[in-house]
Amino acid sequence: MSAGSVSADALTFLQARRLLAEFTGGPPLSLLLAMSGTALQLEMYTRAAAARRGWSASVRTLPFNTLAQTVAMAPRDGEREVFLLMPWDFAPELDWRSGIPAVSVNAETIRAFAADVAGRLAVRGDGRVLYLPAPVPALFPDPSQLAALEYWLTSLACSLGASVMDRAAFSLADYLSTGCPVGSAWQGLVATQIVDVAVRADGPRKVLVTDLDNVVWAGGIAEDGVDGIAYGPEGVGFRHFIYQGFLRKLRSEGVLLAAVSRNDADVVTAPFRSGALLLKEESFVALLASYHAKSAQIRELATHLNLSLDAFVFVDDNPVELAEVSSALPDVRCVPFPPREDLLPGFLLELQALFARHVVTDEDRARTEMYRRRASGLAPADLAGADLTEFLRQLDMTLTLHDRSHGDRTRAVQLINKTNQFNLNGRRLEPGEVERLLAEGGRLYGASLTDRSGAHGEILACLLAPDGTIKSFVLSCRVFQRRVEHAFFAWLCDQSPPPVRLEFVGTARNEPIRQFLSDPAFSHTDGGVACDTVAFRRAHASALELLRLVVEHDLASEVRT
Amino acid sequence: MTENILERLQEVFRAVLELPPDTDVSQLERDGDSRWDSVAHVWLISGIESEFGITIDTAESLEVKSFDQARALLVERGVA
Repeated sequence: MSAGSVSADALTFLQARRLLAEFTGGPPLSLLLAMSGTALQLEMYTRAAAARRGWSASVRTLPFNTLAQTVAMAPRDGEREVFLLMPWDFAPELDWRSGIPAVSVNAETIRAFAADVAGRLAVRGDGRVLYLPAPVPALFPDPSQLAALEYWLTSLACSLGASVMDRAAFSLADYLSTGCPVGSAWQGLVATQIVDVAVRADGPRKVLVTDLDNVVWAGGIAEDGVDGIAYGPEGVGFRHFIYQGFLRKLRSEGVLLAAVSRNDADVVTAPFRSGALLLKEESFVALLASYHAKSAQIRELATHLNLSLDAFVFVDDNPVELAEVSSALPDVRCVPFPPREDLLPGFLLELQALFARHVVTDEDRARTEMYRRRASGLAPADLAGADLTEFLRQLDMTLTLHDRSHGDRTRAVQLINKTNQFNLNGRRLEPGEVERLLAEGGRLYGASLTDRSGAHGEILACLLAPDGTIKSFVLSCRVFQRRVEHAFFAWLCDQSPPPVRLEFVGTARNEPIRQFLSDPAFSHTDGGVACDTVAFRRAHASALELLRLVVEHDLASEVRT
Repeated sequence: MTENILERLQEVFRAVLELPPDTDVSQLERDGDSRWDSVAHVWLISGIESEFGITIDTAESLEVKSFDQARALLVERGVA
């Protein structure tokens, strides 16, 4: 990932401060963060990352450049040691802060010294190691010697059981100016990894829970259907094909696979039953499809399988889902599915490290079937998830409202005609129907969403009759969980005439809008759903605070504040 | 720049300089403010980098001598 991209595990400066301010205490965790550079704010982030997982941590750091002396001393009783190592901790000649030697150095001398350092760390026993493969200065006449040494040092760290970090976490600017090798934008994430290795169980993780849409395949199964999603070794489906193959391999090594998806059960099984995917229904211990919180599904699965939550890894492409699970179930390791092919190798490597096994037995290979029996009969849990208010605020969302009553309305009509899940009635618009309604004084609204990760495009459409009856109301599944529908509807309640009735019809696919309409402000009648706009506005004013509402110029005169 | 970004930037300043929660720091300048010393400056730059996911080079960080210059730096970096 690049600095600044959204990660469910990363803590920002203010999040870390708030976590510590609001933390009411937990079991003590005495930690030594052993690194040769300055820890700077890593100490604060590490305490915050521990607090997020319920630990009350005290973190001891070392004075600058005293790592070697610490390794030579006996560990303190009751203190968990995490070594955050750089290449120059194995070979001081590689340290940027030492400058470049006058003459090139001997690679074999460096290797011999590094092996000696590794030997001393290996006998340390319980120490846990994180290795940051930072770039090192060009010390050799032949550049290939440098590359070979870098790989060799990473391999040496791995022989100590190290978790290898993303080298982008190193900042030469920070290291030279403050002595801290970890870039400030990465400290929140690195601290999470420090706590992860400090409190991790001794064995590898056991269960990988994966999202399906835009993760196992490209596209949304409820909207695109089996023929519309991509999952084969070509085009947009290629990286999903590779991911499927990777999951299949993990399963053969004894890792349990499960899926959670915001969908209906029959919809998500269809692609697996088509026989075209590398994975089958039987590849999973459970396929959980529902519109309830994913954290609730994972917790229920853990109970059924009789496994602790720190055995779970969760993969999703949606930062909101990752934040929800990460917040509700801090022991579950949340890993974002990469948005680009170039990030796929690092992603797969990270997963492999979480499930690392040195030996695979016949028992491992048979594990899925045993646990499938244990999970049989598991129904989706109807439980609330984590409060995402703070996370949503940090997304810095802007919702732009468009009046599609005039001009180009192609996207709004297309959205109404292709959306299945958050769709008021599933009805497709007839040619000329919108024009007739608008000519009579009706209104068609669209809305586009942007957030700090980029633009999501036009994701909402709403068609109203002149009397305020809502004929169509749809929202793209890409932006579920962000309270966009609540913010839009709260705004609509202030318009003239306000929405008085919604032409709701239940379909096999529109459970998400059924949930939206279960709000007390709505009352179901024979002729549809009536809306108490004052009650809705009052109950959901907070949604309008989570995103910035921009009303296009030709709509501005309609806003009543 | 959105109000949310501006408020987060103010919060970073208040947190690092240990100011009360409702303090307006929009006119704050490094010169003449004893709380904004060299250590606080390192923490301030680090906090901004972390909060907004950007990297600030040493030379750039030395140019940040007021809240307004920090705000301008975020605008320059496209933090809307």
